[in-house]
Amino acid sequence: MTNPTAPLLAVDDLRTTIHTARGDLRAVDGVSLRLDRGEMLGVVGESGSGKSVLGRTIMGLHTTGPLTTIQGRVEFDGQDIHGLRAGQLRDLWGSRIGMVFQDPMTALNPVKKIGTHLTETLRKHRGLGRGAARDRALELLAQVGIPDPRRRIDQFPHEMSGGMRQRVVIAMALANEPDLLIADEPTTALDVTVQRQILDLLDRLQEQLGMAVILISHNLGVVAGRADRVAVMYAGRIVETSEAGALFRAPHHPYAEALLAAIPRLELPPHLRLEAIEGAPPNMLRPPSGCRYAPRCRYAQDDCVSRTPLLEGTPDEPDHRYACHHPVNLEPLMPVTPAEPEGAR
Amino acid sequence: MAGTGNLHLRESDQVLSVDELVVEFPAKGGGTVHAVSGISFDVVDGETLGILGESGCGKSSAGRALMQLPSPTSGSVRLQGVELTGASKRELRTRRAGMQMIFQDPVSSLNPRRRVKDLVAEGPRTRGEKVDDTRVREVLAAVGLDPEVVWDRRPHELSGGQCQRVCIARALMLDPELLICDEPVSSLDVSVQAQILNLLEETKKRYRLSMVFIAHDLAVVKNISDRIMVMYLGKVCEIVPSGQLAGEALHPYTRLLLESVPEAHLPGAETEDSITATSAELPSPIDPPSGCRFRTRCPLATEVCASEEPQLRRAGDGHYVACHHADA
Amino acid sequence: MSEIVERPVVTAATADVEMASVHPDAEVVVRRRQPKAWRGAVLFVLGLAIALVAVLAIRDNGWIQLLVVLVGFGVWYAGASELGRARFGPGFDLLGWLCTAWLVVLVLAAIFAPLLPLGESEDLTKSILEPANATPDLLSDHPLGTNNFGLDMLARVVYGARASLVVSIGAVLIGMVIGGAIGVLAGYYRRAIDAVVGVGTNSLLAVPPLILLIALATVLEPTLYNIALALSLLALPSMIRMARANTLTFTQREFVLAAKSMGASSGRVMLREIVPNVVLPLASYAMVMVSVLIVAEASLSFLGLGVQAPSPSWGNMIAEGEGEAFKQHPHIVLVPGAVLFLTVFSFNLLGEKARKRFDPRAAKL
Repeated sequence: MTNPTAPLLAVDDLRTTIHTARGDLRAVDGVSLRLDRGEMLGVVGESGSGKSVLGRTIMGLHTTGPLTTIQGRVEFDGQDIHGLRAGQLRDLWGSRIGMVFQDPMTALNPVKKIGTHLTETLRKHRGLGRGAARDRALELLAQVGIPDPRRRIDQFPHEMSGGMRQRVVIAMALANEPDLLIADEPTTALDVTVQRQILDLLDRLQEQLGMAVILISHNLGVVAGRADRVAVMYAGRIVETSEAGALFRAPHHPYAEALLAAIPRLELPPHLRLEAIEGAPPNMLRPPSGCRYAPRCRYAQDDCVSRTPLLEGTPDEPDHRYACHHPVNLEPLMPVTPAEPEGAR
Repeated sequence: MAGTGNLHLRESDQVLSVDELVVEFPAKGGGTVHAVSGISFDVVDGETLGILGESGCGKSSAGRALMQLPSPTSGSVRLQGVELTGASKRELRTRRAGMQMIFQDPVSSLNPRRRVKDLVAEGPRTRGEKVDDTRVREVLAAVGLDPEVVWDRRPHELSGGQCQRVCIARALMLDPELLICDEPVSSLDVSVQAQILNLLEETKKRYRLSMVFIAHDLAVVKNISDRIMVMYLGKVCEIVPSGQLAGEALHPYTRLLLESVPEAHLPGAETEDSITATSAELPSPIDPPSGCRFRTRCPLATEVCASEEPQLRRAGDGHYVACHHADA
Repeated sequence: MSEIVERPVVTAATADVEMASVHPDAEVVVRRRQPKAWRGAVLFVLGLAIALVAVLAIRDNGWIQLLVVLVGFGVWYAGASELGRARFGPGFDLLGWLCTAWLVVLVLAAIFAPLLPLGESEDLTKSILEPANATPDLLSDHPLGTNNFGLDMLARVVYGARASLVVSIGAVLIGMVIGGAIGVLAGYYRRAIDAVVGVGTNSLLAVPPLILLIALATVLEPTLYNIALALSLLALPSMIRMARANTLTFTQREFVLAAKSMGASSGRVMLREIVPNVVLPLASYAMVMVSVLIVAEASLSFLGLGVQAPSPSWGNMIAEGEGEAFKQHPHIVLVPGAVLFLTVFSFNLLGEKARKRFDPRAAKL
């Protein structure tokens, strides 16, 4: 469903190339996406797919320099992110774009109190005075579900558990009510019960603040339950993107299908043989020509190597786009029900 | 302190019997960490026991204690009826031979200076046996590696999945009867994870092994186990046949885990009665709650939960629950 | 079945993309302008020409000659560096190669000294007829000049190298073997052994090194062997600490646990699992230690406590410049000083490179 008003974020043919001693690593190789206000996009991929580099590039953390070359365009609310000067970019971060990184242990400065982490960003971007900043910080801590904020605000990171720390990091990202939140594996280092609490929190806050979110994860389940749209990445490119439910009901790209089949499912009986994907992700220094998944794809044919497939939808489902010459599951399928497991698909 | 009780133990065919296992160690800054507080369980020949729990539940400590690495604080671990705890180092070397362990980080489990051919043969060589190259090649092929390709490689030249295969090969060279896997797929990508899980199932069948599989991912544990033992803060909450985990789990903690799994929100998944997820923090293992350790986060908790620790009681065929209030 | 994925950087295969941008080695590659082989070749030849002209043509003023040679060298360096990068890729490090070449030449010269056509290095009776304090002149009998007694500087530098290298490398080896063993034991067993070793190491470190050496020199005879022994005491504490720190890192790794679970005894674990991993970072550190000990030996000899004159050592050669000698005949000090500098610099540079490659704590795996 395309939104008639301008998207909050528009990424056009983004390419991030990292120059290493052994050659050029094409971490992100032609990614285009749109994000509307208030929408949650899930970006899913395994390690090496380039999803984290994508997140950082969108934010502007990777810029063209001696180590990296950025091509393509990232437009945030009409502004070209990579055309901004360092100072303008910094103003954007923390006030209009927030980022939550993977490891809560290292995202916080061990010698700064929790409160300081929050008040610093509040005072810088909002110009609040000391007292006002502290009050707002207490508000934020309560909002992210930290019990007893008055005691916690003066604690140091090591005095809190991983789940708490991640909430603090989220509070920092949200302090100035950004329009866009980029969350890179925000729950990977956390236990499953804490993970659920954090994801519920993100859901709630997204509703309350009308914030757009990019949720990057290797865990499809995390993304499936929460995101409006999902994009599956492989070897630096998006291979399938659609509304979340549609992807899980009927993935069209063989990689997405294989990924779903490889995950053990709780609702299926034990001891089922999982459909493992043969081989390993490609070497991003010298990626294969044509479709990058072809070497591992069970449906691959000659034209997959000779012609690079483009990310396109069909007339029936214009919003469910995939980059494949021989997509799967195009006929409507029966949803998987626990009562009659057909084996892992 | 009361242990888990003995109702769930079987009579015969046990490869592994664990009785009142306690693992404690001193905490920095005083106090004792009660990692495992008196659990008993057994593994029958040909069975895979899954040990499920989040961080801090003591499952990894329990796994290491089984291997006597180091020995548990108290309790007994018997492999094929032979006592391991308290055995001298020399005795241990022979008695423990039938038990091998696979660790979480496959790259870190391999000596970075050695090549695959030496890594795999290391076990028998430690015993002073001569190792035949053909046997090494056989085992490598059995775990899905091409001996010609990996023979001379060092660990950093292999991917995570390949390293884990080498670890499994290394364990198989010693003809174990019981394989203890401590989070063997947690650090691997989804597609590689599937490969290794399939491999473990195959290997178990082919070499007629029994397995203890320790992990925090419910679906993974369910997929590979016959029975699942759920642990929380050093105690056992529930023992359930894996097929019944998703539908018939009774302990509030198990239900909470099931609810929290992200896949619970997938279209087509079962929706159960919701357990309110409290935002209460995990209690410290240095000072665990009295009585039932889960009571601080449990919506069903009452006074009796604070004063009396629940024992495992029978809730169905092969299904045992340690809770005062869980109903079938 | 499964293919091996080649790694672009020293990290696990599929984490490259994420790690590449934050890997420490990534900072090393700085984008200079594209190296062009022709530009490199031109500068190469030009530099050589300038240096050659200086040596052949400017024979009267030693300082001007030296200056021009240095300029020529600079130009040649720029050219050779660009040629190397054009031919071998952006990772080509000319400085590293030059240092290696210097050390190789030095070591070979030291080993084969008696076979080389050198002048007289220490027998005063044989040098009576030679000119004293001759200035260095690359095309004469005495390319680096002579000292106050007419002894040939080049020969003295080469024989001095023998003394310096034997002593410092010997001391480092002793330190590595003994210190390494102690460090591994301390790191593996911890508790009592570690405490004792800690006290011992700290005590040794508490004594100012030069004072220690002087004290030892007064007691022991100044033979090369004794000097090496004394210097090894300097190297010992850092080797122990290095070995211990690395042992601690490796003992945490799961492969040690795996070895134990397969029934390996402590001795076997230490010897077969820990030591092979500790040796590399220790050896890299040892290279840096060598340069420290060369300077230490030179200091000792300078003070008259090491190699005794007229046997040459870089230290006592520098000592000959005391008083007026340096002002009137600067080459007496500058020649051994320059050689000392180049050697220490080379060992340091190569040692640091080796450490970057081999020290596991710097590697991201």
